[in-house]
Amino acid sequence: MNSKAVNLSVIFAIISITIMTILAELSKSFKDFLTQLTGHHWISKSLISLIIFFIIYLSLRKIKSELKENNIYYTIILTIVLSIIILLFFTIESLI
Amino acid sequence: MVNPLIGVHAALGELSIIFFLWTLVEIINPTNTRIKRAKITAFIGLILILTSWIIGGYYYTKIYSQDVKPLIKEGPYPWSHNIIMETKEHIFLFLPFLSVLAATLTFKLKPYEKPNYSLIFLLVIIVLIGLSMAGMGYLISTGARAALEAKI
Repeated sequence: MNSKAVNLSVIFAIISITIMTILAELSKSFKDFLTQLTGHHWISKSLISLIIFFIIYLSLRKIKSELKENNIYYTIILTIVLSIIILLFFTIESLI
Repeated sequence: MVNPLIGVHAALGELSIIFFLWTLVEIINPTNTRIKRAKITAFIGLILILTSWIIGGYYYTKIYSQDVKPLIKEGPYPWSHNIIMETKEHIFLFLPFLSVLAATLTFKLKPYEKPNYSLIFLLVIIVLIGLSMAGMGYLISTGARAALEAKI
């Protein structure tokens, strides 16, 4: 597998999970749309992020440039930041 | 009775984390034998987390959402669903993708190269998120137990 394409696909997948998670809590119509899609919003988020991962990977799999160590560090930092955003979002949502 | 699927989901998830921790240990000083072992452990870790995703997803959508969630929300610790479960179910979705990346990078490793620190940190993050899943699982089951006790 092309590791640079995998890294970029992971970035797009985890960003899409975070956006869908927050959007579904802020917009009832979006959550209903996700629920209607597969029967449960969580399954829809899982499948959509998986589809995004594969589409990005298939589009970028032939890129020639090498994956640099810094690219992985960006993914790690992004993972930490997005995890904190999700935790804070649900904490604030629960308190107000 | 507690549904056995939650135990299977937790066991597969934690086993996966152990295999990624094993991968991490192997690649700190990468010899030919260690790289071979790391490729096997990373592959097993990936399969286990994907299986945990499917089983946990089935349990969450078919059993937890219908039976456990309403119970916790009516109990003394509703935050164990509103904050902990909501956070857990979404951050968990990061793990399969990060595991694919970790397995891909492990398969590209060559023996006797200098340690790949970015891969080591990626594996550390996978292990920490995995351990936090177990901790959050404990808090959610505490919320469910407290709700049941309050009903007695």
